[in-house]
Amino acid sequence: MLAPNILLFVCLSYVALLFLVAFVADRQAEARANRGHRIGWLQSPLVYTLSISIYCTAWTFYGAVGSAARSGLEFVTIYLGPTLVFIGWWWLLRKLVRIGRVHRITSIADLISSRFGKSPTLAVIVTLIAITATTPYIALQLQSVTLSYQVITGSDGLNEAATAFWAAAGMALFTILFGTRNVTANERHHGVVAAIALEALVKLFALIAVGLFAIYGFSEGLGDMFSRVSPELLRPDEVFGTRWVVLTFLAATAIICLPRQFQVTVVENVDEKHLATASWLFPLYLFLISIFVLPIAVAGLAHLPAGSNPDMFVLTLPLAADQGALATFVFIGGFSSATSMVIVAAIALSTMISNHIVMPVALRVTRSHHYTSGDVRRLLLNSRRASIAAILALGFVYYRLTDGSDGLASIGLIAFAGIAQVLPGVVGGVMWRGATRYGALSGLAAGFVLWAYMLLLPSFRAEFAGIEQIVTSGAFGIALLKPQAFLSVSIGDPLVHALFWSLSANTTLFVIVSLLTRPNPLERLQGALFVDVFRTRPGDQPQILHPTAPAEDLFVLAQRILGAEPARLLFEEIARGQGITRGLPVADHTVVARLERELGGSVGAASAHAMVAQITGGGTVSLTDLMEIADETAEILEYSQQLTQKSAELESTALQLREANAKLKTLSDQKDEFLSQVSHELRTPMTSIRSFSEILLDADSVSDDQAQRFLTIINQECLRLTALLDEILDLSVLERGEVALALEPVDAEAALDRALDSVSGMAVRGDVRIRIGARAARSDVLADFGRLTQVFLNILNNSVKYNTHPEPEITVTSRWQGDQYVVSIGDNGPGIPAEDSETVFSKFGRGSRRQETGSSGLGLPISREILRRFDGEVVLVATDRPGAQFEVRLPLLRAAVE
Amino acid sequence: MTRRVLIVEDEKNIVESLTFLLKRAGFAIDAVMDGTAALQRIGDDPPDVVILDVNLPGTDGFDVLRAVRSAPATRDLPVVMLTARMQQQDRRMAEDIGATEFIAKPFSNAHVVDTVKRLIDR
Amino acid sequence: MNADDRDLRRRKVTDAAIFLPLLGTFLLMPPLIRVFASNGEVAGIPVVIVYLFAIWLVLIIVAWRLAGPLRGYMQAERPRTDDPDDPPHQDSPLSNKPPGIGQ
Repeated sequence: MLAPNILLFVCLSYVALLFLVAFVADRQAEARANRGHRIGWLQSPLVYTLSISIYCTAWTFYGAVGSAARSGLEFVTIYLGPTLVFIGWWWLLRKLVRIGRVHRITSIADLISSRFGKSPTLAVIVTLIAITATTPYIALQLQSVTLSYQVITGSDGLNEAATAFWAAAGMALFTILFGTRNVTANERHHGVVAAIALEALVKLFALIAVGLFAIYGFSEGLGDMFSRVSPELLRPDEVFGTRWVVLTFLAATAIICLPRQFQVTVVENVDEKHLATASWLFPLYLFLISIFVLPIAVAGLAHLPAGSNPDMFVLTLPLAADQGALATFVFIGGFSSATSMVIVAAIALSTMISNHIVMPVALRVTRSHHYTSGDVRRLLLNSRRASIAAILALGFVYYRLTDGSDGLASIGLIAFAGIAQVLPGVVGGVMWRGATRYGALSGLAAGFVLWAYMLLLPSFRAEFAGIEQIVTSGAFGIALLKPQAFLSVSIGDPLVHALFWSLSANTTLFVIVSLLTRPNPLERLQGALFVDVFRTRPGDQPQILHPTAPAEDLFVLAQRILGAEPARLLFEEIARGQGITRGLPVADHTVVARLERELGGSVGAASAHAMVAQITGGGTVSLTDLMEIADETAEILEYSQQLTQKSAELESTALQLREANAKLKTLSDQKDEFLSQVSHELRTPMTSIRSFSEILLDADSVSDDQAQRFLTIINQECLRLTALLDEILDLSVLERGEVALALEPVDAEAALDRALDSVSGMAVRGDVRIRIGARAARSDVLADFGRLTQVFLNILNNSVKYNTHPEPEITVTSRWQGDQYVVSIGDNGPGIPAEDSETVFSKFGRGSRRQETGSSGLGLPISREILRRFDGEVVLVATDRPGAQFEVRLPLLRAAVE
Repeated sequence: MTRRVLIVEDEKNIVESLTFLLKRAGFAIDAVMDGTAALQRIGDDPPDVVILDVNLPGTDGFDVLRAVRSAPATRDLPVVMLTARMQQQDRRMAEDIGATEFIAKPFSNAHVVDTVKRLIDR
Repeated sequence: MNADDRDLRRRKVTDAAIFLPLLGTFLLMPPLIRVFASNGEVAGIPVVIVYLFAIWLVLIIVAWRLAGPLRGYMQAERPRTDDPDDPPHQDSPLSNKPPGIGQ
C-alpha cells in the first residue's frame, strides 16, 4: 500500500510533466512553423505511431490481463484486428489518410458526411453514434483511474466520486488548454500528440516491467511458469470459434472507425509516409503490449489470493510483492492509458459536435445577418471547449449512474460494436462510387437502432427493472423482439448476436438503398473524388474562369474562419494561380471548391459547404458542370480525353488564328498595295495634266503648235483618268457582287464578233493584224451580252497594247471542247513569263511588262470577275509559240451541246 | 558648259513635260524609260543630276538608286526621286537608300526646276 | 535495374502488401489456428501460444520489409500539400500511371 499523499504527489508531478511536454511541443512547433521549418521530432513517424497507441486504453492496460485470466487467449483478438488492418494498410488506411489530407477531413463524421454530398444529417447521426459509444468508454477510464487509485492506496473509504470528478476535471482542463488552440485541423495538436506519445511509452514500459517481474519474480522463466498452468486456462476449444473471428473483426473495425483512432491516424497525420512506418511499428507495439499479458495473468492466478479482481492483477501483483515503486510506475502507466484516450476522444468528439451540431445551428440562426455579427472562429473554439467539458461531464455522470456495477466491464466491446456501424459507410464510401447518401443514412440508422436495442439497452438491465423485463420477454412482451434472441434466432453470444443483426441490416440496407436511389450531383462528385483519390485531385476541375460568387464575400468568410492572415495568404495564392498579381482572385468553381475544402478543415465539409453556399447561392449549376468531369467510371479517361481534345482544339484554333492573321495581313497588304497602285495610276495622268497645264499657264514661252500638242496630251490623260476611275468603280462593284448581271442565253460567237469589230475600228494601233482562225458554230452560253463583249474586248486590247513586235499580229480562234466553249486569243508579242501568269489577273498586275499606251491594268481582273459570274474563266495558257495566249472558257448551254 | 540632267521615267508624257521644262531652264536632257538603261547611261557618262521615277518596269527606281550609291564614282551623284505611290512609305525608303531629294507626283513644275538648279549649284 | 525490372518489382511489392493481411487472416483464424490448439509444448510453452505469437511476429517483420519500398512508391503519387518542404507535384493527372492496387 502506498500513502495517498506520495501517490498524489507523483501523480501530479507526472501531470505537470505532461503539461510541460505539451507546452514545449506547441511552442516549438509554432516557432518552427513561423520560420517555415519542419517540426522535427514532433513530426516523426515514431511519434505518429505512438500516438496511434491510444488504442490501448486503461481497458486494455488493466482489462487485458483480466480477460486473459477469465477467457484465455481471447484478449489477443483485440490486438490482432488492428494488426491485420495496419499490415494491410495498402488496402484502406492509405486511402483514408490520402482522402483525409486532400479533403481536409476533420473527423470520421466529416468523412462520411463529406463523401455523401456533404450531408449535415449524416454528420449529425455519426456524431450522435460516436457520443453514445464513447461516453461509456470515458466512464470506463474514469472508473479504472478511480479503482486503481483505490487499490494502490488501499483506502476503501476514499471518496470515489471526488477522485473521478477531479480526474475528469483535470483531463478536461488539459484537453481544453492543448486541444483547442487552433480551429484548423491541419494546424495539428502538436502538444497533445507529444504528450500522448510520452504516455504511450510510459504505459508500454510499465506493462513490460510488470510482465518481466511476473515471469522472473514468481517463477524460473516462461517454461516453468506455463508448466504450472492448467491447460484449461487457454480454453483452445472454445476460444477459436465464431467469437474469435467476430472479436478480431470488431477490433479491426474499431482501429478504423473509433473517433479517436480516426483523429490520430488520419486527421493528425502530417505525412502520408509515416503510415508506412506505423504499418509495422504499431503492430509491434501491440505485440509487445500483449506478449506479457498471459504471464501476468498466470502469475496473478497462481500467487494472488483467490477472489482477487483479475482486472487489477497488473497492479496487485507488484503490490503483493511489496514493490511500491513498480506499483507506482504501473499506476502511472494505467493513468497514462486512461488520460491519453480521454483527451484524444474528447478532442475528436468536440470537433464533431462543434462542426456538425453547433455550427449548423449557428448558421441557421445567423442566416439573416450573414456573419456580420460574431466571430466564427471564436464561436468554434468556444463551442469546442464547452463540448469537451460536456463530454467529460457526461462520462462522469455515466460513471456515477452505473457506479459499482459490472456493466462497465463489457462496455469496451459494446462501444466497438456501436462504432462498427460506421464501417459500411466508410468502406463503401471510399471503395464504391455507387454508394449514396440515402443508402448510408438508412444503413447507419438501422444498424444504430439495432445495436442500441440489442447491446446497449441490455447493458443497463441491472440498473433498471424495465430493461430486464424487455431483455427476458422482448419489447411489448413480444418474444420475437427479444434483444438477445431476435426473431427467435438463438446465437448464444449476445455480442455476436447483436453484431450479426445490426451489421447485416446496416450493410444490406446500405447496398440496396444505394442501388435504388439516385445520388445528387454533389454526392456523385464527392464519390468520384473519394473513390479515385489516387487518380484525381480536387483541383482537377475545368479551368474556366467563371465568377460564381463575389470574391469579397468569400474573402470575408475565409477571414472569419481561418483568421485574417491565413485567409489573405490563401487568397493571394489562389490569385497567383490565376495569374492575378494584385487584388482578389476570380471566384470561379475551382476557387469555391478550394475554399470549401480549406474551410472544411476547420468546420467540417457540411458546414463549409453550407456557408459557402450562402454566398454563392447554392451553386447547383456549377456542380452540374463539375459532374460532367467527375461522372461515371470513365471519368478520368473522359477528362483526359477532354483535355487532349481541348488542347488539340486550342492548337487548331491557334493555327486558324495564325492563318486568319496571315490572311488578314495579306488582305491588308493587298489593300495597301491596291491603294498604292490606285494612287499611282491616278497620279500618273494627273502629273502630266498638272505639268502641261502649268506650262500652258505660263503662256509666253509656248508656241501655238506646242500648246496644241500639250492640250492634246492633257485631253488624253483626262480620258485615261476617267476610264481608270470607271474601271475601278466597275471592279469594286463586281467584286462586292452588287451588280446583278442579267444572265440569259446569248450567242458567245456574236459577242466575239462584236468585240473584233470594235478593236479593228479603234485603230489604236492600225498596223496590228488580226487573224481569225477556225471559229465555232453558234454557241449559246448563259451570260450578259454586253459584259461578255467587254471581256473579249479587254483581252483583245490587252494583246494589242502589250504587243511590241514590229509586225504585231493577233490570232483569234474558237471551238467547243467537251461541254465548254473556248476562245483563244494569242499574240506574237514578248509573252508573259511563267511567274507572272497569275499576277496578270490581279489588279494593276501588269507584271513586269510596261507599255506607254494608257492601260489601267484592271482589264484582266475585271474580265475574270465577269466570267466568274458566268461560271467561266480566263486563263493564260502556255504554248510553244512566242507571245501570250489567253483562253476564255464558258460552259455551253445543254441545248447547244445536244 | 551645259549641265546635263538624266530623266528616268516610263511615262512618255511626263518625260515630255520634264524635258520641255528643263530644256527651257537651260539644261541638256537625256531620257531613258527603264532602270537597266538608266544604269548603263549613268555608268557610261554620269550626268549632273538624275531625275528618277520609282515605278519602273523591271529594275525599279530604288534598285537603280541602290546601284548608283554603291558605285564609288556616283556615290555623291544628286538624285531626285519621283513617285506617284503611297507617299510616306516611298519617302522613307528613298531617304534610307540615299535619295538627295524626293518629289511626289503630281509635282509643281517650278519646284522640280528649282530643285534641279539648287542641286547643280551646290 | 532497368525500368521493366523496377515495374515488375513494384508490382510484386504491392501485390505482397495486398496479400499479407489476407495471409495473416488465414493463418490466425479458425479453422487453421485450431490445428495448433493441441496440448503440445515448445520449450514448456503451449504450442498454440508459440504459433500465435510467432505468426504475429513474422507478419510484423514482413510488413517492415515491405514498408521501405512502399514508402518510395507513395512518393510518386503524393498529392499537393501545403507543406513547403514538399517538392512540387510533377505528374499531371494525365500521366497515365498504372493504377496502384487496392485503390
